[in-house]
Amino acid sequence: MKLLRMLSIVLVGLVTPAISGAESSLSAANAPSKPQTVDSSDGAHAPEHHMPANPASMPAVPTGGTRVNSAAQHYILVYRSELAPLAINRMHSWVLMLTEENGEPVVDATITADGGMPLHNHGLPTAPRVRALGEGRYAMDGVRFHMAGEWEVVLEVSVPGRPSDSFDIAVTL
Amino acid sequence: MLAFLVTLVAAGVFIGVVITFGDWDAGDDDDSEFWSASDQVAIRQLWIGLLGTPPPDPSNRVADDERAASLGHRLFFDERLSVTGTVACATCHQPEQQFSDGLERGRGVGESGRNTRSIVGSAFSPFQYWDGRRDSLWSQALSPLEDPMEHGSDRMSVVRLIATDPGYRQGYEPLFGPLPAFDDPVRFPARAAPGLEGGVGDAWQAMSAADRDLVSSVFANVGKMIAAYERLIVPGASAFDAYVEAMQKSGGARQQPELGAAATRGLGLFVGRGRCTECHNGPLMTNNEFHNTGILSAPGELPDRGRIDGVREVLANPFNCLGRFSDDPVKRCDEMRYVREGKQLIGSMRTPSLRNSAATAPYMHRGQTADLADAMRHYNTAPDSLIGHNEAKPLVLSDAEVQDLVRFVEAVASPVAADPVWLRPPGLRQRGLPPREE
Repeated sequence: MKLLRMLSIVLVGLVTPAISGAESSLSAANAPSKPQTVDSSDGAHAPEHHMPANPASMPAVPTGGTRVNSAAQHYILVYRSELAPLAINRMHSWVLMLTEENGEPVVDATITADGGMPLHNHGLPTAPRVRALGEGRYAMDGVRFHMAGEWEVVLEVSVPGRPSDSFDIAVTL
Repeated sequence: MLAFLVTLVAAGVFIGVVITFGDWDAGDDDDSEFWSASDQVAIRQLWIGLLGTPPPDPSNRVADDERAASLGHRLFFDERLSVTGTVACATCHQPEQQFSDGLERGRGVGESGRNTRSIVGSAFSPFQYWDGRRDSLWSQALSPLEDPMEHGSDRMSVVRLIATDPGYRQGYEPLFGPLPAFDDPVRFPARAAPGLEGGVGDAWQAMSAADRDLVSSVFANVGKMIAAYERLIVPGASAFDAYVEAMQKSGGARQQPELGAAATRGLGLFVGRGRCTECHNGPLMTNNEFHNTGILSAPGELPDRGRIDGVREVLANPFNCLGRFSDDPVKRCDEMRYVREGKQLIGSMRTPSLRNSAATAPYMHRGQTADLADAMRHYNTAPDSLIGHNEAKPLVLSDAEVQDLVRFVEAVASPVAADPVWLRPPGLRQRGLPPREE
């Protein structure tokens, strides 16, 4: 059994570059780029109970966040969970920083959140809401994941006078 | 290109090995001496040591006040809180039956619509009932009092009992302030509550808005006292929890004296191929969320719409966290503000805790499932739902594996971790219940 595991690790190591290579070429063409799993190594302390995102306590840019490109490549999002490491069954907030491709903050976006577990054909257990904090920062409140596995969080972004776009964020718990 | 081909061939070999030797990461099939690291993490997440105390309830200012819990204890066992004088909360939530009743449907004045859920550990859930139609223990506690099939009482009668019973009045006023006497028959009729038949609803409508508010706020406080009591009813450590501790001390060794071989295999299935922890996760073995798992309706009954109706009801309920009877000064109420609505909720019910579930048969929202083995077989086949869609997929477990899972769930049994005095009726005037030993 041990031998089998070692073999599988080696093989996964060989296979992974081929898969990710294929994905990056896909995303350059027409699919959203696949983000990394939410980075939990920023040392943020998980609060005992959920606190809503508070502008005063938020960093200007979510440090230790994960950067993703929007599906049509109009915008860039850096997101970070206030609950780190992520855990099931805990309501919490995310900090978002939305910029143009050139790094200019997008201050007047309306962002709606949805998502779920595609493999289970169910949505999120809550209906998170996104509010603007100013200077391109946003807080997504009311986030909860109720089981381990592969989740997706979809953020639809609309900006006055600019193209609408969306982010498809993969989250693994 | 050559590198890609090599990778492809290697992947093919890998897949072949997996097909030949089985699922490489399925700890439950592994007969090695130690659990894998990921299995150990998954098992530890079920350990009761991670439970902590119930989350605070800002909507109930006496939630953690022992004086309120003491009054709530008396109310919980008080059969005078029913139209017949024979039904208390403890009639269906029997301490000796894990605060459930062993029946398909609750039986109070009449027969209720669903199976009685245990209240053990219910303070940890953001929503109550199978369909989550209440958002706190205190608002839940009020509902059966006025249900014609359960206590059959009305809020006017309930608050008059509080005002006229010297023990309740003396306990109530230091907590909530002066109580009206409710003795003016013109302002306060014999029975009154919104929406009830037999003139009780009409009598309520005839009252002034101010008097209705007065009665409803005392009524809400009755729920808050019962909730303060119920918050003390939490599960204790089971043989399984002792197993987790021993497993950790031994660096993940599979065999421990606390669980037999079948239960240990069942545990492997529970966190592995049985996929039980997708919903039955955390130290209470429930995520307290709503899932449609294709549970068939009782013979001759329409499928239960579940959470889709429950969410509408909780949003409209005047005793919810956002309402005027809530004590939360800022009305934060995150569970209500971010509550999920929509058709995905059709036919979904709240996951029950599996702690002590061997003692709470029959199962499911209508008591349709007689025993644990039947419950496991249901999830093993995962039939289509009559309404909505079944989130679960067939598990393809053998009969022996189903039995192993049952053995494991049976091992998650423990007494309630509360002072035994809370589990006995207080020495009140009651029928059918032995007096408390002093």
